[in-house]
Amino acid sequence: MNRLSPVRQLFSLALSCGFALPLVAQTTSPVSLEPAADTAQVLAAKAPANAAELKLIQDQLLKVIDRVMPATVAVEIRGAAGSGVIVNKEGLVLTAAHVVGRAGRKGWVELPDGRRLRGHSLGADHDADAGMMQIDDPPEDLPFVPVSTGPALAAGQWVVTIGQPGGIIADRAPPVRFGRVLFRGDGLLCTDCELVGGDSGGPLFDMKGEVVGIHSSIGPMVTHNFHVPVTSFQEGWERLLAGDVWGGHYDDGADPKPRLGVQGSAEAGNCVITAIFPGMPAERAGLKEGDVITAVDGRPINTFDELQRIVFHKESGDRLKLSVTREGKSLEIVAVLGEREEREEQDDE
Amino acid sequence: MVGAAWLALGPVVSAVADEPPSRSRRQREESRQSSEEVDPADDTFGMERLFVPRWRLTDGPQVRAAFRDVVKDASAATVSIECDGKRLALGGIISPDGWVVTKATPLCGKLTAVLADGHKLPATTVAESGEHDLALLKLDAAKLPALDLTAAGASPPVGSWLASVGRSKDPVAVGVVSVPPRVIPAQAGILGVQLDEEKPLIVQVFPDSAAEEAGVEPEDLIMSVNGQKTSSREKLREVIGSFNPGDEVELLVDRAGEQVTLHATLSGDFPGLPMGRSEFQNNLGGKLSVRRFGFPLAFQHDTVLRPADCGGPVVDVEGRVVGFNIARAGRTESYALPVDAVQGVLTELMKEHLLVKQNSPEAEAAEKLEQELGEPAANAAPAAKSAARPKAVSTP
Repeated sequence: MNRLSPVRQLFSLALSCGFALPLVAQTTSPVSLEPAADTAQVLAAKAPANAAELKLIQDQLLKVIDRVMPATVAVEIRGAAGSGVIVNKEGLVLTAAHVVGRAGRKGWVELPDGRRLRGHSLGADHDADAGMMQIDDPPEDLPFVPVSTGPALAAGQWVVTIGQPGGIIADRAPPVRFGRVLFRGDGLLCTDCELVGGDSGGPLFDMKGEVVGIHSSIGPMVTHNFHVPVTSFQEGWERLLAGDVWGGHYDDGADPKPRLGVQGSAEAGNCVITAIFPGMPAERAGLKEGDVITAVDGRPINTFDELQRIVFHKESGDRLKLSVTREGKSLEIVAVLGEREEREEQDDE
Repeated sequence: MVGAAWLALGPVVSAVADEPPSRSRRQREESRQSSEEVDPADDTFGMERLFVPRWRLTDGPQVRAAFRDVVKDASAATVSIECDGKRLALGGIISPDGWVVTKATPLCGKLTAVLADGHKLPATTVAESGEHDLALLKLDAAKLPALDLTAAGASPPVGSWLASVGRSKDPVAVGVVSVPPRVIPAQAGILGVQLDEEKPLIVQVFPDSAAEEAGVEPEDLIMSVNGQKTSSREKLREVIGSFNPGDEVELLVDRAGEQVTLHATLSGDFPGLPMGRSEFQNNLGGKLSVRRFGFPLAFQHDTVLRPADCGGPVVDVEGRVVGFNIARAGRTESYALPVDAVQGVLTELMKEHLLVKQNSPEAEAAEKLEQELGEPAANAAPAAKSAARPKAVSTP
């Protein structure tokens, strides 16, 4: 008769639990870099107070970089270049939806150690800008970093950005940028880690070395860098793995971003148009070289930068009322923002 | 719904990169791009009006204040190099006798060095390294605080804090090392003209270009550039392309039979040049240095600098000088020359200068400086032959 004493029964249950856990841990993530108590305190403070505290932050940052750099990859899918991060030993890569496009596309992943591995795209959530890729034949020693399952990031939290801005540059390791979470909104995180084209899909890490975000977009100001929080991935995780593509206005050919079609001088004091591109909204609206734009939709502007910023946040089809000074005379010109008529040439992104 | 700001796109409304430092443009004000605060009126994300408190910024006043003790010594030896009251660059005093190192390209006109204590002194350019874009200046002074260029050992690892030193008690800006030292390939200088298919004949001068600024006209035939004969279109392009943006060149031009000499300051691009998407994005967030490429060795960091903040020392969290800022190169990168490479260049410049002015008081001062600088560190990158152009030193 099988009659284990109650103690023994409990013990065997405990044992079986004990054995099961490490197996689960191995397929999801290695242990993360929990900072020491004094470092954690400095990281949680509003700002470091002195050199000693700066050094604690620096020591932790160097450890994090060491751990996470090997798993930060450059991603290439059908001509589009971006970045990504390997999150398990089976070779799952998190990246941006706009780098992936749609499922089933062949591509490459390049590790900082130079290895190029074949992969293919999985799913993409074009609302959140979350995308996944799978490395076809992951080697035994494939580096990877854990995805954070912790609480949402707090404002002021220190974060680390790695990626391949400008695409892969020979003899240049993926640049590291260090910053803090400034705010969250519209489903995105904003940090002051500067991003630029090529960084899309690259990882944002917390100070434990876990993935907390994926780079998505930028605004005109250098402190406006937007990342998809990893919670957005978690919401659609199974669908992304399965290769589902949803959301956004994703369209393989069209480029629905707003265009005006001018070049201007970046000098302060005036927004002067120095060139009009043929076949574009500005030309159609009657804008001319030498025109000075003094206001947009009634809002006075003084620099070309300001015009840029306004158009940047508009949609194709929006009407802009431009107040223009031409040879001493004031005019009102209405331009309808459109799309480029010729196909824009693909460059790294 | 993703926020309204996008990475990969942006309208064709493109910005012009930093204008070449021509004389007339210098008069105009530079609008300072503030990286400190989100403009409360900028609610274009479709979000509520936002105010990001400054303590939250990595390069905000609170974080910078933490570096006060770190930069104390170096800032006493940092100067602002100005012309007509406008700052062109920062510089570092490397000898108590008033030798200063700074970035060469921005320098123009009569220079004044403003010391940490506010004192102003005339500064004379003694020598330059075109290869490294460094200039060695002399101030008529003695017993000035000087930087210690030998304190740091190897180049700081990626992730190390960097404080860009200015004249004030807090650093000008802070950031971290992004990429270890590497060769930064050069960008070719551009005149901004359309040439005949075979001859070095100007067909069109693009507006707002270096050529227009210099007074080049259509139908001009370019005979030589800085004394180098340019007998064909190919040769002219080759010679111009061998210069860096920001370099000044002398053009000998045949204009309807007459010989005309023009001076042009080459640029890296010009308003008419179609800008790719990544170029456009790189210009978002602040002006870039005109000469921002072509360094034999530089390390990259994520500090947001203005072009006029370049030329000065950058220190690590121990306060040791680890380099000199040499360029704001893009939205995500600034470059600094490693301190041992700078030491090597200075030694070379001093040697060349000594050859020119044997047994002069300047030569003696130079020899003294060479001794003070000491041997460059064993693992320094070879400074290489710097294209030193010793200039006449006015006797104080």
